[in-house]
Amino acid sequence: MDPVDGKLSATLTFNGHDGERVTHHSRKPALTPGQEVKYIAGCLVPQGRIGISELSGDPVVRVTGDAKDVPTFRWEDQAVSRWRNFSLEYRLSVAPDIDAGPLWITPSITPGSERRGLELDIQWTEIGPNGGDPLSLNVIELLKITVPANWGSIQGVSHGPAVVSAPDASDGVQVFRALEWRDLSPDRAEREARRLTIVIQFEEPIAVNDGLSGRLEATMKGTLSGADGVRMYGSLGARRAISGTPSVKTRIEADFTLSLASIRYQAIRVFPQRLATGGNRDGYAVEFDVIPDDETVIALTNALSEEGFYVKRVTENPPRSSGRADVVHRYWDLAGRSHRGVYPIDFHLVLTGEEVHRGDVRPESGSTKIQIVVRGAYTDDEMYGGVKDEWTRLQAVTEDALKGHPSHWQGPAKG
Amino acid sequence: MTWECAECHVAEGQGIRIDAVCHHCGKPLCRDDRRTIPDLAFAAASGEVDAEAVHCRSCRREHHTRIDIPMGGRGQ
Repeated sequence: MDPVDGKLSATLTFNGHDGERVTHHSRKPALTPGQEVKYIAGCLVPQGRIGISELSGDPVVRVTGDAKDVPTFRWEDQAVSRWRNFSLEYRLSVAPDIDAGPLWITPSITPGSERRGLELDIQWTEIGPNGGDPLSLNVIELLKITVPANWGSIQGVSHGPAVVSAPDASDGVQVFRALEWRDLSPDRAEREARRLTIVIQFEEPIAVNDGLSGRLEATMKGTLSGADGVRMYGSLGARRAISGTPSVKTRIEADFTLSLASIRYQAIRVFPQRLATGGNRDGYAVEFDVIPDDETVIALTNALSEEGFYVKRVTENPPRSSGRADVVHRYWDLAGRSHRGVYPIDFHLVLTGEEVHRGDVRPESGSTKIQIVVRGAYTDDEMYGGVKDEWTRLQAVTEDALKGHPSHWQGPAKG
Repeated sequence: MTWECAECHVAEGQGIRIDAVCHHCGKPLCRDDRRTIPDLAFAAASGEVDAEAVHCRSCRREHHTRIDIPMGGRGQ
């Protein structure tokens, strides 16, 4: 990180009287040709708890010099500019504690984007002069990132508009594409969170072995020196008004290179997928010749609990009659969770079926269909496969529990 | 850094305004410690002296004679 450079700059406007005065003084007989004619155009005094090493002994910045160096004072030359830029470059008295950096840029891959979404988190820390108010981000004047062109074309960006350049083989081997944002201004919520997230959607998957580079230029309100304004005093010593409002800001410029190698990509796997089963998951449903009543559900939840599945909820929809007077439809909904290590996998069992009644209050026989869906997060291939493994285990526990369950009502339990 | 008068060291604030500097040395001055003198060097081309320059005590003594100080002026 480079040392902090400070700059106090002003644009002064001279009028005809200023030129006249210098010319009048230059024509004094006592002056020899080429002799220095010193002028003083006034003084600038930074305000606030300033910590500027150049002003530690004398806080007054004099705008002075030799009149012959100022085109404005050449009375005979009317075409010269009447404006003169003045600047003082300075260093801070005490180096600020910003080793960690005032801005952080963290890349990540959007979960569930099939590795096609890149997120750039731009966070800014509260830095400021000792004992003074912290600086706040004003605007990101420029954000430019260069990404490998094999990530494909840009399908969308969350903060726009962005200028996307055509792919260019800048290093002669790999082809890159540049994206550029100008004047990104965080909204109120982003300012409170001191965080701005830009999401870029690519056409092709992002290769984590690739990196990206870029440049960020931002301005913060306030200064690290503590200066919060400036006063102007005229050449006679009286205070003068400044046209406009002095701009007090800190500029941050950063070139960065980001590696994606250590990024943890997390996505959710649902098994069986709706698309993989042709729009429904019925292909994965299993049928049993058992009555879909409370005893069946109890047998199933007991078996699940014994195998380490945590059943969180059992809900029954009200039984419905069908076109046949002796048949009643039952519908049960079971939900729970299991864990592979510390990673949870949620499961959802839907148990449906028909009860056949023959005049008794209890059904005589029935059929049950069970459909199981599991849902879990994964970050690697092993976890991806683990979601399906959990579905297979659930399926096996369900089959074991219901195949041993009586398919007909056995009559009231005998004590 | 506190903005204070270079002569009496009174700090700005609470009714005290340091709104002038010595036009020779740049010392900040409160209203009580400034000395204003019409300065011929800042006269308009017509020769009319229409500007009063702010001085601290030492610069007034160093750069101006009593002749510069008009009757009734604040120079001492």
